[in-house]
Amino acid sequence: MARILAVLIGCSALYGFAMGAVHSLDFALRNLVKFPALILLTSAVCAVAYYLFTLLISRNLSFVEVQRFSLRTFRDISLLLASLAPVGLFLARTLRQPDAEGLHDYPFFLGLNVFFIALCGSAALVRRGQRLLQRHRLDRKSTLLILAAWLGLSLFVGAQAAWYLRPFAGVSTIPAEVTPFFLGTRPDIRGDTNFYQAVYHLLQPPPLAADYHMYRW
Amino acid sequence: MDPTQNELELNPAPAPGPEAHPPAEPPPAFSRSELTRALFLPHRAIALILGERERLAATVAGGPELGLTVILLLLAATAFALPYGAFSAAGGAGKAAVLFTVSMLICFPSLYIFNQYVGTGLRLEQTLAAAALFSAAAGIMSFGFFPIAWFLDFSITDQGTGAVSFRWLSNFLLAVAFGLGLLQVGRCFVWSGPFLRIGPAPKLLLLAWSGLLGYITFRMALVLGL
Repeated sequence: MARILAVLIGCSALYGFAMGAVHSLDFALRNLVKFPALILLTSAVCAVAYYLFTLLISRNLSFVEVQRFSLRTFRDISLLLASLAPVGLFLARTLRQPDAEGLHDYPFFLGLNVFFIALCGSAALVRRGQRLLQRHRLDRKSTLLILAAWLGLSLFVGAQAAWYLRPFAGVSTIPAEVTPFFLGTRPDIRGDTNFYQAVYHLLQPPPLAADYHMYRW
Repeated sequence: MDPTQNELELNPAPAPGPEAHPPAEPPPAFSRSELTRALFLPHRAIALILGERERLAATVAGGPELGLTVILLLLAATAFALPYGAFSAAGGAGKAAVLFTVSMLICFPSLYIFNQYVGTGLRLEQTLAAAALFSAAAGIMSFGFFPIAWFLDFSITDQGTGAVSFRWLSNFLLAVAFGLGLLQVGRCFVWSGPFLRIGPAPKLLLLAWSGLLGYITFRMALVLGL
């Protein structure tokens, strides 16, 4: 278990560093702590729920096995992401940064990171799903149900955890010195203070404040 | 001569072919020692209630320890629901327990009387066990959600004021626990186990009762200020 945790923390810190490098060395160094914290917080908060959902579907896995399994899945995701860290770092340092004229390549960089995380998450889930089928005598339907439940729980909690620990990449027009370590419950440009409300306002946009362009953390 | 032996000789069983399987053994009911252990060991109680649904159904259908099973279910319903309110601003430690258990107890007489009226032949303890399974499973699921509720409570400040507030999310989690509680009742007493042979009327009755229970739980949530 200690080895799994060590790989998970090391690899996710590496990827976090590459992502933060799009802003500055300060952001990159902060992500050495924040990115592993995001993964560990999500897996810790969901731990009991992972087990209870698994028990509802199959009794072939014990609590310890479920925790080991979920940690291995997160370790796999971190490992896969770490392999993409050089790509992320290269792009972070070479893409055109936001300035007074516009955001330039910054939205692409953010989108690419979301794609990387989704890709690595899917690959790890498929691989771990195959292991579940082989080792724990689960049928395909139960395996899919368990993975879907875990994915749903992880997204539900992980999204809010990422919101609380933001910013991971930051905008280069706002210097690191005035950016807190994490923004927590501070409102964003639309006044949203949590992830779910932000999604709701993406679908039902509220009117922006007149001085929204003056927004600072 | 032993009559069973005679019968076997008169009606010889066909030779088992390559695809013949021995008939599946019915799952055994819970023993007194298992139930007593589960009363003191929370993880055993969770395993029995969520993970051993065939055996739970067998216990309710004809096991000798039905009374102890009902006590275990009611105790689990109360105890496991306590942390949800205790570790978040969901409005007091006992509210989730009251929500699931008292709502069930309010609706229980209707389930029992209608069951008798329809003629299922289920005894009072059996009906109570089926209803208590809902509260127990929902309570246990709320136990699984309490770290999530705590985290959401910690990381969301504008409680009750934003479009999607902690209160809204907390009620969503309780609704999921409610749904999973009902699902577990269905898996035990409708779609599998020894209750499969009972006709469609009790199943329809259980479905209708679920609607009533849902409405009463909703009203209870309003009364409790959730």
